[in-house]
Amino acid sequence: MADGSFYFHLHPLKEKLTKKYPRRDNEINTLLGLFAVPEEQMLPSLIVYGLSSTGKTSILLELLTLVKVKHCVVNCIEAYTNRLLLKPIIETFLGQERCETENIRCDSIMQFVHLLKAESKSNKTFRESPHIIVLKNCNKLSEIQLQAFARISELTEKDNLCCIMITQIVPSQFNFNYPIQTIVFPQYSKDDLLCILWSQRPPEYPEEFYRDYLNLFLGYFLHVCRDLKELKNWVKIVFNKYVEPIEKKELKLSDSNLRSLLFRAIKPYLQKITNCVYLGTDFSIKGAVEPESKLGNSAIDLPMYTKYLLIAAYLASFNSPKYDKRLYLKGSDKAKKRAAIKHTAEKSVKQCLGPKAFSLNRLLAIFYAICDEPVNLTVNIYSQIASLIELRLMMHTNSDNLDEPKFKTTAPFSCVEDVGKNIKFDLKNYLLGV
Amino acid sequence: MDEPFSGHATVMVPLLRRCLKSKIRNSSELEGCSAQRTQLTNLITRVVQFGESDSALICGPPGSGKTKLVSTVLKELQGKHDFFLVKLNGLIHTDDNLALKEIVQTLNADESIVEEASGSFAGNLTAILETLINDSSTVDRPIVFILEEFQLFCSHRKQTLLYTLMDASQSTKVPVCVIGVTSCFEVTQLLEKRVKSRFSHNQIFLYPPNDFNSRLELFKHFVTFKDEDVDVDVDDLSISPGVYSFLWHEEVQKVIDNPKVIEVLKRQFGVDKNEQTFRNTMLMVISEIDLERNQFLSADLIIRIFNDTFRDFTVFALRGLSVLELCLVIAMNHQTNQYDDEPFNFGMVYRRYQKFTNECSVLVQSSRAVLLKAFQKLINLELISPVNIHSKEVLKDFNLYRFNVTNEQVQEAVKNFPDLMPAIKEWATSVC
Ligand SMILES: Nc1ncnc2c1ncn2[C@@H]1O[C@H](COP(=O)(O)OP(=O)(O)OP(=O)(O)O)[C@@H](O)[C@H]1O
Ligand SMILES: [Mg+2]
Repeated sequence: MADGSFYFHLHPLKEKLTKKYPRRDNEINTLLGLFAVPEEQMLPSLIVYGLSSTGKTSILLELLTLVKVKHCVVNCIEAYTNRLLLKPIIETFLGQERCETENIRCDSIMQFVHLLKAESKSNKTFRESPHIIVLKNCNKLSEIQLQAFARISELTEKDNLCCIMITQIVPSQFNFNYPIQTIVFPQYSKDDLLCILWSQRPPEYPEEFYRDYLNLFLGYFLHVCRDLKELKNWVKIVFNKYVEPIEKKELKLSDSNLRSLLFRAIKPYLQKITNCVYLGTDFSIKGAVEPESKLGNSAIDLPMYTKYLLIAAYLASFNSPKYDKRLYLKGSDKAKKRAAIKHTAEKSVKQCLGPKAFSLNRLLAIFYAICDEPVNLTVNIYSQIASLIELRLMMHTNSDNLDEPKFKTTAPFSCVEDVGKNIKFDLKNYLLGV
Repeated sequence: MDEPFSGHATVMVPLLRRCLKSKIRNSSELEGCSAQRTQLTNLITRVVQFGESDSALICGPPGSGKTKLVSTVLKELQGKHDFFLVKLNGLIHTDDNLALKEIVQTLNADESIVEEASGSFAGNLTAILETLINDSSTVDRPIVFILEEFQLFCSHRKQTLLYTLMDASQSTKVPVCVIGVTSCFEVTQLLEKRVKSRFSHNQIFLYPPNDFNSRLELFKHFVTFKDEDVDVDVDDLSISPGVYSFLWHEEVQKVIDNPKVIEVLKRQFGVDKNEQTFRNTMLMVISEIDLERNQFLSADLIIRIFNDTFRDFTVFALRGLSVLELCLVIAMNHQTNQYDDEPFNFGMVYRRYQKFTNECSVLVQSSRAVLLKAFQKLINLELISPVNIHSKEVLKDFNLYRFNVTNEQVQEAVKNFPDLMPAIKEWATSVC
């Protein structure tokens, strides 16, 4: 039963994959149906689409290796030239040694197509065995490269050549003018995640205990993050913290209300930590603070007049110059000022559009207006500006006129507001449309 | 399915899958479009037989059989006449230099001409091509140029190649036939004046099939087989393959008689007339025929696979986001709806999010840094895209973005989002 026999290989294969990748049975089945039997014809091209860490790449590559089909993987992020993209494929398909001895070059899709066509003509095994090109992050390719790879089977006149493109980007963004089948790897549900994380549980703790923990953990984390890779990382970190009372022998696994005690102990930590997801590091563990408040802190440490300068810069960036006179003129009465502020209240959207550039003269004018005491620091002012720029609270902008440099604030509102509070200056009283 | 037959089904299913898959994958004979076929055949014949140079454009929507038409006609003519065939494709020959190399290779001309060309290539492509084409020592036969993805050649510098070819089709000694193939109907408007004036303005239009019956016939063709298609070594079987074949076709008949199957087929035909799409879907169907469980074709299978092709992947993407990311999407949706698709920046979206979480007591507000990361993720997924990629704005908070998702897609995603808080649902559906 020569022909019937190959299906017997499939069963252990499927078993192996579904065991290693739980909750991906459907996707594994579909891929096996398409690629498991080398004697069967393939699709000309295929998109494998799914959000990050849904298992696209690892499952596909493991499957292709298991069914022993000739394939080559290129990560398009690294392949920023035609040569980097095409050379590895040619080397895999024609053999690396041969490429070196015959000094085969491949710098363009034209050469690529010629090489494959010539090989098809001269080499029967090549012609008759299926070949697969896998392009990771295919969205990094140029429009023409994408279109060419979608039709690579038509272009090379090799029926059993298939290009599989892996992407996290919705396929409709690509505008292919050639129909491509898409296989979707759906995001894991809460249930799926429980199952997957469960399968990688630490052996030292009772199962019931870990299950409780996982439920608690996902209850907090799923809100911010559903990315498995990220969750896998955090589930370990948080667990170490979770079992700390037990490790320190403050609590015992046999305690009757252990669960609620541990819950209570970990809750504030969890709340804090969900604000650090994706930021790469666990700020609270290392005793560090979030970058933004750090910025605020460094601003608080500024000398007095620099603080005024920062506020002046912020006002100059966000208020339109035509209100300057009314806002800052000494002796202009309070009522008028309020009216001016109210008048523009509906323009609050402006605030969102970002800082506008201002000139040095305007900055100084506002600075002198808001500084109650008379100051004379023109000498010093440039170094103050320089230090604000160094602290990334202010920046130069491109200006057509070299003699008149322009600036912008880059400090966030919260930071400037804190600085204002620190010197008893109410920023909101001067900011239009807040 | 049927225990008594499982013994030979295990042999039959793999054979059948192989047979049906290659039927689907290998294109069939050219059908219909006889007028266009005659037109093209006559045109090329005039060139290769009587030496009357000419040019033409073949236009038709994707998958209307342009490539098929050309290859069928050429195959037929190659048997009768002696001519050079130069096949160029805009996707491969991305600049004139590459195209020139291809031409030289196909014409078996002296390679040194190319080296000369690439060495001192400064607009003398025309000269080189002219010498090539006029040089009767190398080119003693008519040349047929096929330019697939013709529209792409229009963006080559100065359209030198197009100019040279079109010019040759009017003046050289060697008979030349230039055939452009494209799915871009306005392509003649892309031509430069000097190219356009040398183009014959012969156009051959292809239209997608309008008749659903031919699609249905193709469907039947793809799922049926003759006993001789499947070559089985009869000795391997305890029962003749005829029995299996009989059972298979009985099931196929049930499928074809199922109105729901006809409905999904019609639906795809209505949305996308491209035969390649249909072939892809059919290949997916056959791939699902289980090698282990001796399945037959079933209506359920067909309906499932065809319905899968109508899925909206954007909704899929939204449903895979975290609640926090979805909240940002909802805020963006409100922002875009309120301001008539105006672009927005992070600050505006953040405000909306803040306003919502302030009013909604059940939701814990996430930090700005985390939200900024979530925002970045939506950019990476191209659910939003920057208005101006090369914007001078260095502060990412204020960069403007456009929303690539429609309100319907957001609502659809929110409707089926797993375990979404009612408050968020309400926020998403509210009009602001
Ligand atoms: N009239 C026809 N007769 C037979 N097969 C056809 C016909 N029209 C289209 N097809 C089939 O449809 C598929 C697509 O056809 P083809 O590639 O020739 O279209 P195209 O117009 O060149 O498309 P594209 O614009 O994508 O290049 C092929 O499998 C082809 O066999
Ligand atoms: Mg074509």
